Amino acid sequence: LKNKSFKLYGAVFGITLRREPVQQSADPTEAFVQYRTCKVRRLKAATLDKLVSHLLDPCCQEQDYGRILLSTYRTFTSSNKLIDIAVNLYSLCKTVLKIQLQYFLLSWFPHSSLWTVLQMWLEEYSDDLRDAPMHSSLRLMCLQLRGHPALFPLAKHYETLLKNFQAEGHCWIIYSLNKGVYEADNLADFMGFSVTGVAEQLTRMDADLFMKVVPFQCLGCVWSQRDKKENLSPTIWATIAQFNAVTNWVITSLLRSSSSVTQRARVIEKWVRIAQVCRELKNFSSVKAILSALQSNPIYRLRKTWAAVKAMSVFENLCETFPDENCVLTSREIFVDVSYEHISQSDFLQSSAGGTVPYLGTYLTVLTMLDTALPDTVEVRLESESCFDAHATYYIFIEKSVCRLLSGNEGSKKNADQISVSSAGSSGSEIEEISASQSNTEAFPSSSSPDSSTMSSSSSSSQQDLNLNPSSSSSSSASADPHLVSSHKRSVSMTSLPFYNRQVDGSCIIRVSVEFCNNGNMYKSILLTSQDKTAQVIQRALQKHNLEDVSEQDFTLVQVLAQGRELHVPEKANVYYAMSTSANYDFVLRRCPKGQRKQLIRSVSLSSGRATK
Amino acid sequence: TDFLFKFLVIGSAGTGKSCLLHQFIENKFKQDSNHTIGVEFGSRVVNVGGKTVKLQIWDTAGQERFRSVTRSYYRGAAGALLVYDITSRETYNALTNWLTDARTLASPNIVIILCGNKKDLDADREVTFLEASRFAQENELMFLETSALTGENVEEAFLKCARTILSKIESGELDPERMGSGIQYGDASLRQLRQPRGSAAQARQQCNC
Repeated sequence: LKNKSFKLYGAVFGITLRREPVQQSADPTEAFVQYRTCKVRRLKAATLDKLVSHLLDPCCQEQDYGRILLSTYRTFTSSNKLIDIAVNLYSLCKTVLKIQLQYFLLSWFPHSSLWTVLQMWLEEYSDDLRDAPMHSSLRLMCLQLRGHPALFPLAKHYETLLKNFQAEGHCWIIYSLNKGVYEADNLADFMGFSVTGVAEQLTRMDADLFMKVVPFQCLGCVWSQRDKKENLSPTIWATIAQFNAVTNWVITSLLRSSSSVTQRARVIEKWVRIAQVCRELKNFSSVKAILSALQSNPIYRLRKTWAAVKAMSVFENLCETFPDENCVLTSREIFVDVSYEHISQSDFLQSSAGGTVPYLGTYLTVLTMLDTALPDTVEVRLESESCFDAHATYYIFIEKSVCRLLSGNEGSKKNADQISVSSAGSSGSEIEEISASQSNTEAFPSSSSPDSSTMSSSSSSSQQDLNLNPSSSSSSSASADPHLVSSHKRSVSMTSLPFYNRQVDGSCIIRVSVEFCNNGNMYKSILLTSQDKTAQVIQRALQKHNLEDVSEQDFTLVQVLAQGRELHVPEKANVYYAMSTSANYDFVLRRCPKGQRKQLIRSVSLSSGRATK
Repeated sequence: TDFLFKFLVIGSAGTGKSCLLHQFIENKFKQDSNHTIGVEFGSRVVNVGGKTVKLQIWDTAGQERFRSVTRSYYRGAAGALLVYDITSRETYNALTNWLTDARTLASPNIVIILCGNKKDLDADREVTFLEASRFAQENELMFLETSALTGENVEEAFLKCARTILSKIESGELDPERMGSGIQYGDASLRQLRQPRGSAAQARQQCNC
């Protein structure tokens, strides 16, 4: 029953078993942790109505469901529609309840859940509702809320928000990039600017734009204008325009007809120094823009100029900041560990505690890939249902990366303490995420970055301390110093997330390939828990390799060790404990020789399970 | 595997590059989200003329909107799919730029196949087959019209490109041992490295596929 799905009135649910630590006496030095197993139901796909009614379901066990929905609903509906459905559903429930239960339950259903969601929307996603100049969804919201006396206080808040937006006027949507600034200069002027001056100016502009980025606009289908929707992401486009303006500036400054080879070399050197300062200012957007320009075809082909450039090592060193251009390759692991594998190679991680302007392209690319790869809808009885799984993934990625960076920046301005608190809290919810997921997509265990996100649900953080090692649980109080914060985050991630090649908290990810099977799948990743027996693992691997027509009995599971050695996992073993943890977690499914089903050839010493025939 | 090729997918934004790639990697395999941890795409092993070749495919996936697809992206690519959208002349007009970049920033011997994507939207066509094939001929490109939606010609495009690279290796036109060729030998292949072509049969035997 580990991973059943079932359908219910236009919704598909997934059931997973998850272990959670049992709250014990407050002694942190306790050497063991007790777990209990509980069933978790998660919505996997549903019609729009059902998605919303799930939101209002007081029995909903998914604490992050509201946030996931609010972060991602743009991929399948509009704000207006969502508001309409939610409020209508609310009225409907109320009427029905009035008749049937005579006000009995009115105090908690569905009032409180709708209230919570609307409050969250107001507090965390208010940018969604801006759509200047008309603010139509916000108006609709106010109107709808006015219709329900119980929701009056919220209506007041929303009205205040509307007033604020109106007061801001239209200036918000117009990012006038003063291109004149870039064009008016001549070479002498440019060489006269101080390196720090230019770098600081660029950083100021980039930071300004980045702070305005609205997370939902990063969604793959929104920002890349899938289906040629109108441009719904002005904040992203402003960032892109700025990036391209900088690359153009670099290129044009180098391609003046009058300049000589040595002059050009000096200009390149200057740009490299500017990039270097931008890096020190943690403005990776401009670093990337300048480097891109210098590596573009019109500049790269200037061989003589490059030969005259001194301090090439600085340039090459800067290029290392962006270690791998190929996001596709890293995206496989990016879910496992957003910042550890991918970003920590550059300076992102250590600086993520605040004040960073990232190169947004990396994130946008991953989100575009997710958008490509994950289905929007599933066909159930010829009824199209929004595939919520996919959106959960989006959510997690956006929350954990973009929001993290955004909140990091805001936090650093306000108060360093806040960051540390929110980071400790959210790592808790990530752990939940993981244990809740058990080889199920929706949580993408994987996707959790070790760092903070804006979310921190108190209920989850209360149970998580047991999960962490003592050092990390103590650090939530520790740190006003951003460096402390980031090192703490790192340690949390090391000890609590399922990694490749690491067993953590009763689970790990293994890679399984099928021998002699050339169907294009190199290996598939499988989440292995401490409950999984060999047969189950083989079966899951075969399913993932789309080999359902063969019998699991025809295969043995073999771990590939170093120096060509192999570990044959016995038929009845618990794979989690049987596997070698010192080697790579790479496994091969090997077809048994004909007539020799499941004959164990040789079993290397195993800690659990007798090697039976 | 015998070889590893670095492949690029390039072209203007909105031409369906990521979909092509995804279609090729996921191919006919149904998606079973229940068992997927992460989106596993990026490389695929194919069998071309008795050789197993791992294609490692790089996709800009939207980054082309930033002017950031540069030297480090192209470096060492053995093959490329140059994609335009048959319903958008703009994307077709941009081909020359992409081509120049690919030829100068990747290796000059890079094998490129032109893909007119969104073949399924024939009613909205803005670029005729004839016009594009003439362009392909003038620039020594292979050419196919593809549809990432239906899957038509997607497999063919990648395989055609891989096949051409392999035949160039066999004819000696491409030297895998040269730096930056974008070609690497797989594990078992070092032995076959310098053997005459007659050993192809032997290689096939080893392959077990």
